[in-house]
Amino acid sequence: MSGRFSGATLAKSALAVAILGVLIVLPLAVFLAHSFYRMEDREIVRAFSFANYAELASNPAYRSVFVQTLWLALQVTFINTVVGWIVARAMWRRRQRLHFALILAVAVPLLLSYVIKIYAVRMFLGVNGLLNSTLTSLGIIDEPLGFLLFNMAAVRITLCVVLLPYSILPIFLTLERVPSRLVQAAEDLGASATQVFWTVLFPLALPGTAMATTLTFVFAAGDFLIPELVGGPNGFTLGRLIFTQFGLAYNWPFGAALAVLLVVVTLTAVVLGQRLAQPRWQRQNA
Amino acid sequence: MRPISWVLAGVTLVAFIAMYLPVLVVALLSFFWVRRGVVQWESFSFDAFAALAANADLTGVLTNSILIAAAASLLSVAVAAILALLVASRMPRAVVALVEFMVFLPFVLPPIVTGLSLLIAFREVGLARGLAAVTVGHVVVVLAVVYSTIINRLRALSPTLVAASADLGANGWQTFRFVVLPQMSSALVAAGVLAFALSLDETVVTLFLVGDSSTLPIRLYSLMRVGISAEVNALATLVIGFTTVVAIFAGRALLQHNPHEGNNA
Amino acid sequence: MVLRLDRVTKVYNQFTVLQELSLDVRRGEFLTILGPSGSGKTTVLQLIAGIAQHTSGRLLFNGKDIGRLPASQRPFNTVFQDYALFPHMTVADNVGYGPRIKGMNRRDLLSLVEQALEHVELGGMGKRYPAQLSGGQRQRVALARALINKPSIVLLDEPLSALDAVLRRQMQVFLKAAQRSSGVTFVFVTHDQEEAVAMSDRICVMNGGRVEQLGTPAQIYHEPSNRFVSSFMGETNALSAIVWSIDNDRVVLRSALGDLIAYKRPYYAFVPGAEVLLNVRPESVQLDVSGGAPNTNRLVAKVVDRAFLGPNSKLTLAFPQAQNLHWDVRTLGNHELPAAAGKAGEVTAWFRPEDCALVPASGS
Repeated sequence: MSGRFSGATLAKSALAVAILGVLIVLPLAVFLAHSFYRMEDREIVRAFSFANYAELASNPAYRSVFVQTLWLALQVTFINTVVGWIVARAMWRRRQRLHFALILAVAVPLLLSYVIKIYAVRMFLGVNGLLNSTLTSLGIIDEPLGFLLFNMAAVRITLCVVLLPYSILPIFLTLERVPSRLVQAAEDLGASATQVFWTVLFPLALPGTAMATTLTFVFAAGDFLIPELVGGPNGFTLGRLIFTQFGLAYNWPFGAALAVLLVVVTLTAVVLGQRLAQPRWQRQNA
Repeated sequence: MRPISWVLAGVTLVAFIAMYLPVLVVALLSFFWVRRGVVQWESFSFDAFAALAANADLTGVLTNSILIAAAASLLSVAVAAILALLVASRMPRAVVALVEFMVFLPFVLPPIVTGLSLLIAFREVGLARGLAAVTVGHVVVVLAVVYSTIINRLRALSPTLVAASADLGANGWQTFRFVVLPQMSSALVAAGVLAFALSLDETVVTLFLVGDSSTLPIRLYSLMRVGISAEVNALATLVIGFTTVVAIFAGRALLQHNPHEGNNA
Repeated sequence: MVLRLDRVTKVYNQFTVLQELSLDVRRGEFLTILGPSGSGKTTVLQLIAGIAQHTSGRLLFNGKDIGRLPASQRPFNTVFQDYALFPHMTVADNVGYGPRIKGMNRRDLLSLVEQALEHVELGGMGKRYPAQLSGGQRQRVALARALINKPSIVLLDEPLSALDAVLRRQMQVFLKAAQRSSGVTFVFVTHDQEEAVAMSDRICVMNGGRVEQLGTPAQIYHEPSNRFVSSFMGETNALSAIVWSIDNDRVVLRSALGDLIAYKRPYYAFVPGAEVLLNVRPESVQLDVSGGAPNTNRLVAKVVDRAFLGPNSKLTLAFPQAQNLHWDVRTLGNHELPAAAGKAGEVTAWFRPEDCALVPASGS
């Protein structure tokens, strides 16, 4: 590509960058700036300082919420990636009709309203929920199980259930794109079903796996609706902490600093995911 | 079958149950009463739906949602189409990378970050919370998906088509009007539908920007915070039914469209 | 013989792809299955490999029925049409896949792979990925990956079809040499008759799910057993005729071009009155330049077209007695015509009775 561009090219580039600059980058920059401000008497003081970050680093309460959130997100990511793989593998290579039905069966819960999914799981898990009523009436338990709702376990379960389609679908779709010739070749060379899976299917579907894990992790780490609605007093996460700073606690600058932390975590996960999605053999082709 | 196969089949079954059973229970509960874990089949009624219909407030909320979704999808398609056409018109590679990085930022970042950054920015410029703010917020949220739908189509468009049109004497506008636009129109429609659907369900960013107004997901959210009621069940059932029907039709259309797409490529 | 297909039928979606097909594969031979697309040739290969399952019949390997064994347990390996190299593995990992799957230790594997790569002239390329190789190199990796398992049979599914003409010639020679030096039985599928003739010990011509003819390249080329084989195997000049009489060693034919004579071959089972198709290859038709041609099978014709093809020229002949009948003649160089042509481009063409083949006029 030549080093010199015409005026028209320059104008077009400037226009595109300007649109996005105003719409996306500017708000993020303002938000980043706020993380360095502070609150005094319910007023934002626009003085640059690292006070919010110092508070984050020194206060063990925030540290524990941060660690707790990371741990939660990792658990959900691990569980859902494993389950997503198992389901995707079970769905793989079905006859044409079944194939469509199966994709639809995963797509419907994916497309379903997020709030309604949470609502449904909460209702299912609650003290008066169906799971407890059924178990009680069947005589399996005497008292409704209180531990099912309003704690970290409930957050974990709900995240897993709500996010499961986001694991299954990307893995399934990349799995479907593995040429059947390669599977035939592996079988032809003597590989058993298990060997075909680990030597051909799994490595070739890594991009989908990376996509699934990244999506799930980012979602689980940043979500606040699920902890808010099913977490109760114990299910506190980073996302929820941020949200309270913009509501009850009313400390926008501190909330912004917390959110910057979340952004760092998210971008790290995305970069790692990208590396996983582009294994060495693909990068060398490019 | 070997034991491991049984385990894998079991996990698959549990996964589908987990994805569907809670939702089905909600649907069931909008028609029936449950007492001590037993569905009272004789209690079947549309009472919950009647109560929902009587709730005039919900109509207003639904109108808000639809208006926002319509405005956000039109705006986002317009912005994304301009961006995609600019990007497709031989921009320097570095600028393309920068533009795409910016477009995909809100897609990659957790929605809570997008929501609060817009909240802060809107206050700085004096844009009050409300439906207009929510609309802009939705444009930002859906832009990545809309843009990638359109740019994929533009990139699949053979450059020889444009060259052929120019060779046959068309000027830039004519080439766009008679060659490029017809080729990308279906992508524009698809992107618009996608944006509409995403906007209709957007909750997190909306929550930050909506102020005293409300949309359907926000109303559901606040009803849920209060507790569980038959009305909420009825509303949820309607949304579930609507989503399923739309998914089936969209899936059908997509499947039938695919061979044609293959010819285009 | 190492492998026998015994009345194998394959029905797919209610469509009979193979119909009671029987075929013997001899140990150490280069057998080519030749046919147009849709003839079922690839299906035969897939049935042998175990990628597809036959509907009925038997697949006997050294006398044992292996028809229901999965592909992974058959002692055959396939070189796929698009090579099917694993894109995420290096060349060395691709080649070593079979032994590694069977649990060979790393040290033995390394030396074995190195040897296998040397054998296909790819020494030192082990660390590359398939995407970094040329078509011909990928082809050789695929071959090495199959041969390293020391299979009883290597199955090759149109492996040269993706290569350009020059590379294709080279790979033909290479494959043939690899087969000779390894002594492994090759079953090779192609739709290219020149390729088949150039490489094979035997050719099995297939059409419509059946074997049309099985024999050496020379047999297939010079002694086609039916219309399909004669027209599929290269260019031929055909002429409808009726068997008039059969001598000890000669068949007298009556045709639009007069009485013609063909030498009787052992497999001719014609009776006088039978309708046959006489086939003469363009290179077997001679032009009478010096006037010293024999009296039999002389045809007076007119040159209606000529094309210079480089090493030889093609003349198209038309005949006064038979409209719409055109024969092609190959002549060396471009100079023969003026001397041979009489007034108004008239020539006398002839062919030897042993240079023609008769096939039944009816049937495929």
